[in-house]
Amino acid sequence: MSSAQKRISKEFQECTTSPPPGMTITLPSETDLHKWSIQLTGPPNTPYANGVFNLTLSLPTEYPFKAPAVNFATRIWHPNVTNDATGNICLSVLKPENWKPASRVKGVLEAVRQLLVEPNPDDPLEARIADEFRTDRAEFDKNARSYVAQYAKAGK
Amino acid sequence: MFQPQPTPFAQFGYHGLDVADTDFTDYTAFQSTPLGQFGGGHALDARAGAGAGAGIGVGSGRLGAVAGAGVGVRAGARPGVNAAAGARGGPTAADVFGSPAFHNGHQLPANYHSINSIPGPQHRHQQGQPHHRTYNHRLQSQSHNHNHNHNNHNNHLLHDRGHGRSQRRHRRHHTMEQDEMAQQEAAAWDYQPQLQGPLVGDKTSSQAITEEYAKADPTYVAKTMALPETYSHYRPIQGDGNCGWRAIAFAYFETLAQCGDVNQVSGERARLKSLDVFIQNDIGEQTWELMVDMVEETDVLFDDVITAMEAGQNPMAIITAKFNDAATSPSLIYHQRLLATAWLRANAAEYRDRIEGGIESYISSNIMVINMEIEYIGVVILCDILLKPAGMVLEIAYLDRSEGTEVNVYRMPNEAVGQGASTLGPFIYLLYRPGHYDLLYRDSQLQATPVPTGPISLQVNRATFAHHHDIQSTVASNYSTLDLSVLGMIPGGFEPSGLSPLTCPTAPSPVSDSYAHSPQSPWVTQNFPDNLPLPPSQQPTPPQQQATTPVTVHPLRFSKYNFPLLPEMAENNSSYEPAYTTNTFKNSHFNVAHYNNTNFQPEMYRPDGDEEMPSGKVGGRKRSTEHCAFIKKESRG
Repeated sequence: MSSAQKRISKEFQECTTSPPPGMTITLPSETDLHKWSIQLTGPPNTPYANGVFNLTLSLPTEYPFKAPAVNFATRIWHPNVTNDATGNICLSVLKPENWKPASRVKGVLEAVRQLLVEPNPDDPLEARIADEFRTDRAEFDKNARSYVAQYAKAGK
Repeated sequence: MFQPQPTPFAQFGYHGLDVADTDFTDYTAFQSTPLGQFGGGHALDARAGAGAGAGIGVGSGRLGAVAGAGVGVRAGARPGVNAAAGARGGPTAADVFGSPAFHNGHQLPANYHSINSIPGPQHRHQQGQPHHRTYNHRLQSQSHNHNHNHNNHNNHLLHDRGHGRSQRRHRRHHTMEQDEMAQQEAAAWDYQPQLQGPLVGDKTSSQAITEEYAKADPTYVAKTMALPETYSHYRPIQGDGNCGWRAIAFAYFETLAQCGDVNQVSGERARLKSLDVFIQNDIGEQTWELMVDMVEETDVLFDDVITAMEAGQNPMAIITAKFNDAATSPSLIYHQRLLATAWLRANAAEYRDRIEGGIESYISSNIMVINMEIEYIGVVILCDILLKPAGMVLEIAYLDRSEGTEVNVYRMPNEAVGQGASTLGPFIYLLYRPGHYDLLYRDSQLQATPVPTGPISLQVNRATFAHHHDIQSTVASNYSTLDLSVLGMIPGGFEPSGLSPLTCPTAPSPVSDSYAHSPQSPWVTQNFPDNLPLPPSQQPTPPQQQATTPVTVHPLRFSKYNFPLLPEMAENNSSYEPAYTTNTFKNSHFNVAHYNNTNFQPEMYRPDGDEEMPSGKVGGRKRSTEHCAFIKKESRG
């Protein structure tokens, strides 16, 4: 087992034994340590509360020398997540110039969850949603909830 | 007959050690690095010569240089060669340096740089200042742009101009309009680091660099034309943002592999392993847990290298493969970053003034990030924690548009600045082009073989004196094979008995260590006194001849025609030569190592014929002549 594999399995171990709040982490394929599935329950006191979001996390072969990629598989109304099927997330810790091999997946997942608690409209992927978040919070919350109802219902 | 006894040679060796102890504290420790295999006998000679030379030459570099060059001629080796040895080594260096001529000839330029431009501690101190200033300047500009791109290169260049070899240089550069310079550099900048191909390339002729720049502006043309004269080969390193780290880490392993001493490699392995705790304390238990497998790759590589060496194989293939393997290479490099980080935090006081914006932010944005190129301060740190304790010296050749016809050379650690190359441990040569590092090599390292090569001048002497043949053939048959195979592998094996009672057997000193790795030395010391005086009726003993009529009595040696400065050198010779030439001359006669070198060929002096030498060597000689001329001028002025 290469040092990268060892590292990944250690991290997977860590994430499954003490996952970030509201998250369940599984491997879609037992043989592939590089693809993780994450189920995230929307944090309470946010428009996303009670929503169940599926995310994918893929670890490049160069990991930990290259950042993992995290995507929302479930559509979400959020300034920092592309409003499409790709569900790209803008997370500063994942940017190449910020990524460090000392960063860990658990930290990334925690940052994703934090993004739902505290959207960052100053560095948006969806400018329109960011504008709405800043100028018309009520409308934003409404849209976010409707997305949850439409795409992220528990048990769906 | 071969019972070891203290002899003048041993004293001479001790003398060198003594000097080293007083002047280069840090280096005595790391001199214990056995470089013997950088040409075997060569290393011994270099050490001893340098040490002894230091006794005479330290504090009066120029005198020593001139004197050394003079001896070089008289001892009969090729001029370029002994000029190199003598440049720093002083009188005795010349015949002690009866070591592989090819090797030393190419070391000349660096020696001369040090002597001429960086004479002493005072200068050294001043030299440091501009770096800091320009460094900060650069850091500032770079802080606006975290990505590794060509904008940075320009700043980088501006900053690195400061590494010029003379202080005069520094002043001139720093009075120039920096903006203007930056523009010039930007305009001139056309080198694109290699992003394809292997991470660590094959060693190739440095003529390739010359060709690459053939159509560049005149400064680059001149500098790259001169480059192969000093550095015969280079190894391209992929410029993916890790090249500096990669180059240094690779060269570190390569140097260890070349030393051929398993014990030293094991020692380095243990040292790096012990630094794990250092890193662990620095990054914390949790992060360490994530890093440990990564760091482990270095230890695995050490293990592979040691296994190969113990099996008598060349570990270079393993090292190159590991550094090119995408699975292991980043780990090896990141280990360096972790070491640098821990070292920087632990020695924050030392570096604080040189890092603008704070150490923590520097670590976080420059060192711990992947694909962020090493900066000058990083090179210093890596040198301090990785190379210096291993006894290695780093020399960086700066290929930029600064004035001059040769690359500027800067050496670190500071303790090594101004010292003769022969007194120092193995060298790692980096070629710096703004934003990119490659590795450079000199002949001496290129030709390194486990079997020591023999001095050329010695062979010539043997041809002259028949009785020496007898002595040597006996010795060779009885001892050389034994010595070469066994002694070379056992550092310090012969010290207590064979060498000098003055060196400490338990703590190998530079000198004693080189003895241990030079098979011929143990018996040289006692043999010569017995045998040399025997046939005085046939010929006067060589040392006396040398002092008086070198050319006529040794017809096969090189004459003044090979070395235009001979007449002047000769005038100086009488004052210093006799005391040392005896020992060293004796030493050289018994150096039978060249018998074992398949490439060995006696060289004949033919004043009228064109010498048959590789063109690279001719370049080397020309160069040394120039340098001698320069020295002459200096000594007069």
